[in-house]
Amino acid sequence: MDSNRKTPARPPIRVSRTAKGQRPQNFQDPALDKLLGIAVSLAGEVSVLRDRVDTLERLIEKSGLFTRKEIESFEPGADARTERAADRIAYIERVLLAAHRELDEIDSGRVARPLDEIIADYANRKI
Amino acid sequence: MAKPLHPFLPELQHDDVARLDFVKSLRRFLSTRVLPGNAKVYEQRVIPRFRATHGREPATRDEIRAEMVREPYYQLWSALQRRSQEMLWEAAIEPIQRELPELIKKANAAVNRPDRRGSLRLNPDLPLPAYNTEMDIHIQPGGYHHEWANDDIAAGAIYEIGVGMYMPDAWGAEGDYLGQLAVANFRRAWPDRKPRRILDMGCTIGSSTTAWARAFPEAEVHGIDVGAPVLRYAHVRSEALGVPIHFSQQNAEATEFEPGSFDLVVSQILIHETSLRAMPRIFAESRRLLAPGGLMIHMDIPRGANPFKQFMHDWESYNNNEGFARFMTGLDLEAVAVEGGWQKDELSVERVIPNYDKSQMAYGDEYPYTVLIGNR
Repeated sequence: MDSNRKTPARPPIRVSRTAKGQRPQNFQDPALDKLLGIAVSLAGEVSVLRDRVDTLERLIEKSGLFTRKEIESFEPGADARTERAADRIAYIERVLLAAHRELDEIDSGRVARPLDEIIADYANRKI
Repeated sequence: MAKPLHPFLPELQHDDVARLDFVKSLRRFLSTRVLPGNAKVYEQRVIPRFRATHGREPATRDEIRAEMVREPYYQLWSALQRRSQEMLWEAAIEPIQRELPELIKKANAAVNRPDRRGSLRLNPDLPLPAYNTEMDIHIQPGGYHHEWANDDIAAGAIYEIGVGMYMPDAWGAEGDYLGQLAVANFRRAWPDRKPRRILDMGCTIGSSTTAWARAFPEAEVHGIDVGAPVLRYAHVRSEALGVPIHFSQQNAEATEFEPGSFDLVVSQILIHETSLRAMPRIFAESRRLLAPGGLMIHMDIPRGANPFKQFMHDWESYNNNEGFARFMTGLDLEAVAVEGGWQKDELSVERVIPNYDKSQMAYGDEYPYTVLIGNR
């Protein structure tokens, strides 16, 4: 990120992002309202990144380094394709972590006992 | 990045602009591509279901609401619309918070400068009305009144950037479209009138006040509001734009002005943010402040021509901290003004149609404003 960006680590005056007032619940499960909120925020941040990449491409083209046409017609070699495919899988795994934790547990054989049981065991000095 | 309109707005960096653009695009998308589905769901799913159990169509906006909130399509639209409203403020706050100490310093240097043409008078002892403090109106964090620092102007700057996204770009670079609409309407009805003293009630950052002041440069123009940070901002903003306006912190229900001190009292979209208790008092105060022959013109928000459209406009009452807005539907404004001491034959109500496009209207396909006129 460029050195002209002025975002301080801790702003001297903090302005809350939360309005006073009861928040509406649109879905049966209020967690879904929150999840949707997070998803839209992420979509927004992806949009910000897309704009930034677009800016970069235009500036690079202007500077004569390469053109956007070259980007569009760029053909990654076999090595690059293999690396990208592996990177994408790792990326998807990270994003979908929450979805496949259960499978991870089963696959690794590291399935824990229910937490209540363990806590009860602590209480009863079984552990 | 493009230079800000005046020195009291933050300089926007690349990602600030990208965030604001995203919210605008999201809201345009919701208005044009998602919103229309609600009417289809209503016609094709809700009406047949309701008819099957009740033997008739839903008759009121509340009956429609009870059904629609169960529809997954409406739920998703509503949640996305709410989120877009939250993000509108978040995107505005980001650059403002970053530059706030500097913005406040600049504003302090500009407040009541010797070469000013307007003025600012604050009253820290003025009680804030409950309709301002119960909820932050249209979920702007902190509303019009909260101060995050001494001599704060953040609420004004947040509002100015935020309204540019609310109906994306509908209100113009200076956010004065509603003021211009009111002025044009006034000129159509009274082409020869040149008001000499104008009061704008609930002026916020003075964007509509500026339109009146520009239209009648010979007039002495006053703007009142209950929020100190928006008034500080309004003052330095209008001076920077070269428009002389006298701002003071007063409640429109009971001001300190002398009786008969204005020949034109106006408001733009103030009334729906007050209450049934306050409205007759505001109309009575407007009457008290007018000299004989003076005019009161209060312009307020669209409410929908049929129960379904009314239900859609009510969304803001349940999801956007506009708790009172739904009470404006079907309200007899003339009767409320009579309650405030006006004579029936002094009053009239008009509709004014703005030129918004579909992408700027989040809750329906027509936005006729209602104008209450009192001719003293």
